[in-house]
This record gives sequence, C-alpha cells and structure tokens, in this order.
Amino acid sequence: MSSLLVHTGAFSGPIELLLDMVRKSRIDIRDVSLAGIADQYAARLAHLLALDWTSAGEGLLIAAVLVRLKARALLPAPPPVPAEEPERPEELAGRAEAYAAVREAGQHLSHLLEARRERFWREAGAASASAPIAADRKPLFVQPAGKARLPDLVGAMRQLLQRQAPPPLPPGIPRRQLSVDRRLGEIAHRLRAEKLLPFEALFPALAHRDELVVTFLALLELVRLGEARAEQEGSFGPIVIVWVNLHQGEVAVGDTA
Amino acid sequence: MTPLEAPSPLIAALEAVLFAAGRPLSPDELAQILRVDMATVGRLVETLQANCRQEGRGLLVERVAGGYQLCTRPDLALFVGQIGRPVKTNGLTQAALEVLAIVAYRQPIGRAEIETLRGVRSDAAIASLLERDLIQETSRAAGPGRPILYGTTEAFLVHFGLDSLAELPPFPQREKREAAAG
Repeated sequence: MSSLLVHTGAFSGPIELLLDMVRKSRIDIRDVSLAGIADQYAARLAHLLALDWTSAGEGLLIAAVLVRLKARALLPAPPPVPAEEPERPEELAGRAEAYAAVREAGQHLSHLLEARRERFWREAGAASASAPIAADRKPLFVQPAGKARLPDLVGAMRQLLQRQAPPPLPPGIPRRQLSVDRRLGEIAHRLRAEKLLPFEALFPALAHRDELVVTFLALLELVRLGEARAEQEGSFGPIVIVWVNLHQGEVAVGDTA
Repeated sequence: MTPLEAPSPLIAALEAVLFAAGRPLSPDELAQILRVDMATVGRLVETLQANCRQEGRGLLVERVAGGYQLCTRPDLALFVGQIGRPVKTNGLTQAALEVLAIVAYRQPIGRAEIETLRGVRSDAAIASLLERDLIQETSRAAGPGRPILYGTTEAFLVHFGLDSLAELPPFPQREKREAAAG
C-alpha cells in the first residue's frame, strides 16, 4: 500500500482505493478532480522519494491509470480499426514455398562449407585456422567514416582488455568502490573540458579489469544518453569520443574525418 | 621443357607472395607484383600447381574469389585441423545460413525483405554475419528511411570456395524441388 493519500470532493483516502472504487463503478471518475490529485502527488513527491521509491512509483502508475480512465470516459470512442484481412491461401502457399526455397538454398551453402572443412589457408596477419577472434583482429566490416558502431566499440574494448594486464593488488588493501555513475560523471567532466578524446584515453593506464569494464559501461551510457558520440575514421581508424553539447547544439570540432 | 618448368625465381616469388598475402591475389595484382604480363601469370600459376602436385607437397594453389591462394591439401586435414578451426564459419546457425543464402542470391537486399522471406525476425543472424565478415553493408535503398542493403563479402567467397557469385549453385526452383520430392 502506497503512502499516497489523496483528497478530492468525492473521495478521501489511499490512491489505490480510489482506483479500486472507480473500477467497481462506485465512484464516477468524472467527479474526481485529477488535476487536484496530480497537484497533491507533486507536493508529496519529495517526501515520498525520501521514504520509499517503490510507493512513489506505484502512486504515479495508479494516477496514470486514473487519467486514462477519465480520458476514455470524457472523449468519444475512437473508430474501430478494421481487422487485417486474413491471408488468402494462395498467398500463404506462395510464402511457404519461398521459405522452402530459402531453406534449401541454405542447405546448398552448408554443403559448400562442408567441402571446405578440410582445407586451411592463411588470412592476413594470422593463419585463419588458428587465430582466436580477439587476437590480431581484422576490422569487422567496411564502413564509411562516421559513427562508430557498437561492434567497433566492443572490438576496441576487447583489444584494450587484452593489452592491459591488471596489476596484482597488494594484499590487505580494500578495492575502491566502483560506480558507473561516478565514472560517468568523471568522463563527462573530462569531455566537457577537452571536447574530444581518443577511445583509449578514457581508460586509466594501469587499471584493474573492473575499472576498465565500469569505464566502458559509463561510456556506453553517455552515448546512449546522447551526451557523447563515438566516431571512427573509416574501417581501420581509431575511435574518438566526441562531446555533444546538448544545450547549445553540437560542438564544432577542428579536424573531423 | 620450357625454362619455366625448371626451378625458376619467378615460381619461387609467386609461392612466397601467395604465402605472405593472406588473401587471394588476383591475376592483375600478381602481374603487377611479379612484373610480368597476364599470360605469364597464368603459366606461372599452372606450373606452381603442377609442382605442388607432382612433388607431393602439402599445399595447393586454388582459385577463389577472383584470385589465387595457397591452401592445405584436404587429405591432410587430420594434421592441420589440430591447429584450430576457421572462426568465421564455425558454428553458423541454421538461421544464419538462411539469411546468408538470401543475401548471397538476392543482394543487395535489406533487412525487411530478408525477414519477409524467412517469416521471422533476423536481427541476430544479420548481426552475427556482419561480425563474421560474411556480409557487409553495401548501400542504402531509396525511399523512406533509406534502409541499409546488405551484400556478401570477399571473405564469403573464400570461405565457401567460390571464384565468384556466378559459381553459386542455382537457386532452388519449384519444379526442381517437386521433381526431387516425387
């Protein structure tokens, strides 16, 4: 039970009970002032968040449901969406056949592969038969200069993890508490100052593996939030992380690819 | 016996270059590297192939992806296989093979059409094939959203032993399949 008590003309009590009574048609939603409830929620929010996140979330959810119920009650019903015509038998048969052909084509490829199984050849830099996928990696695919994609970032991260051997911690020293949020703040701070940094520069030199991983996660989060951008100069190029100033449009960078 | 059949510096050079290249070299490239004309490249390759066979060597010269590369003799797989397995095509799932087949035969083709042909979502298979360098983004379609189109890579030709896409077995036709089933 949330600790959100609401008071309107028609009702006074916990918000869940209000929803329950509306659903059971004991109270007409049109008599309930949702604006008033929203105001009360906003006023109590700081207090709720300090007490109990879960209740705050539940209270918000219930308020949202109430709004939807009221909207339905007040607005005319939307026109019914015409049901999708069921596929005609000929169309279905055509698709099934197309797929059967695809499966067979896949089998052909599989046979070609089998015929190759016993041959081995060298690939640039390492024998194709021996290189594990991380060592001596070839770039993943040809791409024009521009946004570095997740596979590129993951690949760069793998190489970084391979190169960096974590130094052993002296016994008895407790590990620093690592937080993605904190690292995110640190990276954002650096990027704001320098506008652009090479991918590798974000990772502390003699870092423990955990620190590298946390840094990577923080970087991904920054990119996801749109506060930073990962760019790559063509397939083989180094990856750079660019700060995106969300409030004033993009920062102009000196020599872009 | 023409001079080329005797041990020749050019044969040795061809062999060394093919070994070091780590990818198929086209006749053009070989002509440039060895500083000979195309006809000579052809003769050199034939001679090297013949030498490998006659001397019972462990390597062959094969024609693949529009060029030549050295590969191990298939009957020696028992030994060479211990070195490892090719990563690119190891563990290709049924789904990945189907997507690859669609791309191989219908390229350039976008994700939406691939999914329509298979009847299921194909993101994971496409991502896996991209990761393995068997397909690549080739261009974008005109029209809303400018969806990405995919095609096969040179690595695809090499791993499936094809000189070119023309060597793909013919796409299964309904008549043939019915004949086979009947």
